[in-house]
Amino acid sequence: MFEQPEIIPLAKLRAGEKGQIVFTGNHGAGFLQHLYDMGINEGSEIEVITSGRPGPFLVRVANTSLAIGHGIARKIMVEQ
Amino acid sequence: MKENFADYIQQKREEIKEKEGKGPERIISLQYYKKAIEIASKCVKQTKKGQETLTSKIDRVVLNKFLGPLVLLGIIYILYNFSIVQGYKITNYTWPILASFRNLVASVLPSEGLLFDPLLRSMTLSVADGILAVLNYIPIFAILFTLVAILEDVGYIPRMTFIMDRVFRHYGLHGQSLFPLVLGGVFVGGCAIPGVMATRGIKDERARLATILIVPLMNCLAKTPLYLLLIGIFFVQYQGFVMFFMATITLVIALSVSKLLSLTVLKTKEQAPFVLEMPPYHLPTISGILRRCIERLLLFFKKIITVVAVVMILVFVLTNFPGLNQESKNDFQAQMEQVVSNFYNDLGEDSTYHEVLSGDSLEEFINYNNNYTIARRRADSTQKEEAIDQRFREKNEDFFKIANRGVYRVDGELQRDQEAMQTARAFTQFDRNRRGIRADINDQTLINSVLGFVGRKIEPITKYAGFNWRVNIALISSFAAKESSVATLGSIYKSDEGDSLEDRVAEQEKGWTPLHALAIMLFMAMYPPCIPTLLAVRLETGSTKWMLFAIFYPIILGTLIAVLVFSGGNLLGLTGLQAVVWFYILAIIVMIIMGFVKNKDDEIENYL
Repeated sequence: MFEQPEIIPLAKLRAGEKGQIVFTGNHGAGFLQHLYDMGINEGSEIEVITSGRPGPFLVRVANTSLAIGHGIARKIMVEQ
Repeated sequence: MKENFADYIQQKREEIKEKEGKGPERIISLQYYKKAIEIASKCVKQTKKGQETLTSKIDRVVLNKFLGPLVLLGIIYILYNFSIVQGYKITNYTWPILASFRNLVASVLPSEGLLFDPLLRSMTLSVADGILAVLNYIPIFAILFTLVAILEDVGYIPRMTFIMDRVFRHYGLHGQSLFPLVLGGVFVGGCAIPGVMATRGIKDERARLATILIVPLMNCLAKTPLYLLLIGIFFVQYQGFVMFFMATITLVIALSVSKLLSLTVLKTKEQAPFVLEMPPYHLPTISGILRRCIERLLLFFKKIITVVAVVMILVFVLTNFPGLNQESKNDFQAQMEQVVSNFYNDLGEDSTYHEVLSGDSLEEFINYNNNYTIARRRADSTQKEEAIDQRFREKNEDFFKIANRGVYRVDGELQRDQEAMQTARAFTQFDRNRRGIRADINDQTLINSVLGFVGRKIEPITKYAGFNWRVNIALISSFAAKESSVATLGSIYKSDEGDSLEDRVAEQEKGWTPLHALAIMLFMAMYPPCIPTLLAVRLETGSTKWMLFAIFYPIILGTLIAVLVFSGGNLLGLTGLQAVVWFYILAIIVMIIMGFVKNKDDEIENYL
């Protein structure tokens, strides 16, 4: 009943699951810039369409479909 | 002053961060998005908010882990079938047009001599033969470019990248390596030059270098005519399959090579993040596709006419000089005189035509006959035929009678001239002998030439790959531009009429088996990049070392494969098709094994 919002890496989500992006502050500026350029902002809702184990993830953020590699997916944190 | 400025910026940056809670780049990005949303809301209407779009539905299949690759394979196969198999059928109709153009050129040039032709004639015809041989493949490329343009416009290419990334990573490549490979010709139609330049977008240094080195292995536009030529002669019943094999085997080999290079070329830099947008699917526009297709055809055209023409002249020089020595020339001259006197003997002293065809007139008649035959071939109606007959009869009535073997019409009435008939018979025999001598001359000239010399010198090695010295010459000339391989073959297998190159090769190389063809094709597939591509490699890698490496490793690789296929195939007594299948299986097995070899730097944590 009392659910603590979980903060997990995007890579752990399965197909069809959604989450909200959370920036935990231990990312390099370049990495963050990359994300912004792709439209991934703090608080954006992100939905996993195809989970990428193995391989890249297919996600949906703000009406855009993106393919995200594993490396990034592990670093992006989401709140479910 | 400079340091102060940098400090000043840093100071300002910190001020902003404190005040706004975000860094300046962040703020700028946010502002972009805000403005974009504002503009979009004024002109974009979302009709199915929240519902799954058609694009997503399609993607569920296309990007599915199992169905995706199958769809990909299917699309590639369709691409081939339409462009190569069907396109090839179209060339059966377009070749006669090219051939008649060639004959037109031939009739405009200074005439053939009895034995030796004027240099202008030989050289121009050589260049023309070369260019036409390659132009023949335009229908195929037109279809191919159209289909690729459709795929691009539809938006399938990023999906391909998505599917392939999973696989590519095992071979030290990046998903983004796909586009350079596609440009280089994963679809049997491309050019390594833009392919190499497209690698600029790959941030991972190791993957980038690996991609640059394997893009030239792809089937560029120039290699395809050679495949088509040889498949058209040696693998006719299995055209679609063998072409598909040629198209995909280069990728299979390239992956193994890439892995090998990654294991030995041990430079790793930080792996760049892989983020790629999947655009919604679109219906392509006809004008867009046509434009793209025509652009690429024109590019092809330009390259042919410029590079190949120059190369052909060079090849002509190298295959005709130093030429025959005086002794051989005298020898052939004597042979010719014998043939001529035989002809006059056949005619007999009493024939009226003896006078007509004596001395220089014989040569004149040869050219007259050629022109007449060509003109008649082009006539497609009785009216035209009659007009041509009229023209030629007015030029020289006697020649006309002989050219028609003594049976002809004057004002609709059939005429027979017995003596003309006999003369024609004697002439046919003479002409056959004459052509025989000319063929021998061509052979001798080629053997004595610079390229012939080199080709022969390496034959002891190359024969294990099934290459005779003629093939060696064609392969060497390909270094400047691979289109030259077909073009050079076009001029090495000379013919006095407009026979298609397939017929000429098939006729003059009767000893060849499909294994020969396979070895040549595979060697050509692995061939070092052409000079323009090498320059691009140097530009992109910034080092001459890599450029040289890019020349030498394919030669070794290509030779090994060709020898394996040819000698191995012969030892095992395989037919051409069996060799194709076995080699395919072997290559795929090697590729799979390579895929499992773990690179020291591969992060195991990549796989949760």
